[in-house]
Amino acid sequence: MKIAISIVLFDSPLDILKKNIYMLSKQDFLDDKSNTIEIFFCDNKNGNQIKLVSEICNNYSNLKFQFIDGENVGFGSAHNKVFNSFIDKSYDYFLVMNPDGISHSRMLKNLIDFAVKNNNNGIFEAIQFPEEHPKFYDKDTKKTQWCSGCCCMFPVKIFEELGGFDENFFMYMEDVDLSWRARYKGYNCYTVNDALFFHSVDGRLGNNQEILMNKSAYILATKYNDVHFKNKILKALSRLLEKSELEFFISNCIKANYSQDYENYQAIADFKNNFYFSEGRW
Amino acid sequence: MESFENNKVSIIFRTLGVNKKNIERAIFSVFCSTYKEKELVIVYQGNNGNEFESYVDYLRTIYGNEIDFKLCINSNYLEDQRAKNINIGINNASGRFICILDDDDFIASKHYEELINLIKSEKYAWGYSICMRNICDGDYIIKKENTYYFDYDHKEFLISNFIPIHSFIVDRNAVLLNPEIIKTEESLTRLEDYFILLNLASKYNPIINKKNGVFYNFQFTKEEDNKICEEYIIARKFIETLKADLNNKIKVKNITIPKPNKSIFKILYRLLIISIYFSPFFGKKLFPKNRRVLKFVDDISLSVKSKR
Repeated sequence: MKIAISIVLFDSPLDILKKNIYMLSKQDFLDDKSNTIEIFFCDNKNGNQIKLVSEICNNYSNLKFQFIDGENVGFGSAHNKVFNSFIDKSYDYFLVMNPDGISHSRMLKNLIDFAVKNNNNGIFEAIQFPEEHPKFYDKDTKKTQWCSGCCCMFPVKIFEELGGFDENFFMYMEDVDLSWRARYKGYNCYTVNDALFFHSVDGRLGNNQEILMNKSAYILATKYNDVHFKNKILKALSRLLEKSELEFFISNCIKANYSQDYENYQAIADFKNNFYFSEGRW
Repeated sequence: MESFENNKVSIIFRTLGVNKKNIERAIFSVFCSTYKEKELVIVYQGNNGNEFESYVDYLRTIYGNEIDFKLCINSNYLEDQRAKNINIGINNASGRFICILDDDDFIASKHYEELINLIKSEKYAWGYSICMRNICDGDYIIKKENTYYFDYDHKEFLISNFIPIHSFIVDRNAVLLNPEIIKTEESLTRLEDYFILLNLASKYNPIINKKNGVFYNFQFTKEEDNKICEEYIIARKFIETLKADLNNKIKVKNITIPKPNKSIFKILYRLLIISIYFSPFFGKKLFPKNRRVLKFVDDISLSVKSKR
């Protein structure tokens, strides 16, 4: 079995990345010698960290590495770039992973075992640890409303069929959008709760992150045509941005044409629960 | 006793070796911890010492680059020796800082680093971090509760224990004159951590890290059987005697008393909050029960019943 892991770098914390590469080399998925892990680092700051990261990678002969650099095209676009440039049908899974997380040694095996058990009919997120995302998932079936791009595995065929992430989103909520599109096509979203991915969240958003998050929310609301949520986000954006900045954003943020009938998504797209986009467990 | 030259934290990790998934989850949280010098003193109690030793060798191959492992085996599998196991761990620990982690709990990545830095910089003998309570059904977290602490209150603490076992750290260099203070009474099968904390608190005030802490996993479906309830009753009696003894003999003091750092505005703000808290209408609305100080170990059985 062959898995491609895509990690987007942008001044990423090297101490955590170092631990993660180490833990990826310790995956029990690799106990089967026919299995391979190939990690693709896409440095969105023109290759700023590639030298340092490649030095870390030199210590691990049981993993394969590829390095890509370029300008900051955003989270989803960078993963798409990796997928479109390198991933072919020889790979079974495409896994997108945050650079500020650490994989448990049994994470990949548990993700893949679960995916196989469910006929690869969906997308599969590792559970965030120690602070779980509060969104609901079913205790028995593990089905959830959407999968976080923090650590999410796609069967290659499904990622290809969905056309990857929507590149209108710079950062945040591209995962919500992709999950909704997957569910619309009849695939399920799963939270694999015995596949642990350490992700440290301090719960406090910086001003820049808050702006990015609201911009993405605006695009999501526009795409799925939820007027109430869109107005709410506009209010937040008008507080965060200068008037001219806001006007520029609104007229330029969406390059694609969303004329197709996203109204059919009413049963899937959940704007009732604000930024959770799902019922919460607490 | 000589002082500790290192800055290592020794984590006493008691386990019966039953739930490997939980053990690995707990150790994974230690691995992810940002504190560099970590020693995990595993105290295994059971009759499969050889098998467990092999398992620890496996854990070493995974986490050994980040954590120093020490294994102690207590082969008495007939009695519950949880208190003795703490003392075994402490006797074998080499770190300046001591803490305990049970095999079904886990820590936030900055807990050790932030709390140890506070203890060192403010010159306290011990401290604890805030705790997030996960109400679980097996692995599934049903609900999270932020436990909310006011500043440490010794009188409150004498009533019952609100400091979870894995949230406190002791600086052994600060208790060199009385190293036995961090050991517990070996006859106890419950509240063994409260015993340590009461002794510590009778001599030294703690410092509190309010930023990042630990996770206390509370099984919603767990029912305490009669044996455990009896053990609690016996332990509570023992603890009451200890409290009376400590109250008569010892007065609490700090190693150094930190300078007051409260502006007049902070004090006024606090008075306002307290007055709202005690007002008949707003108090109940704004401070529902689960935002108040939570008592941990003492009230486990009671809170299970009340949840139902």
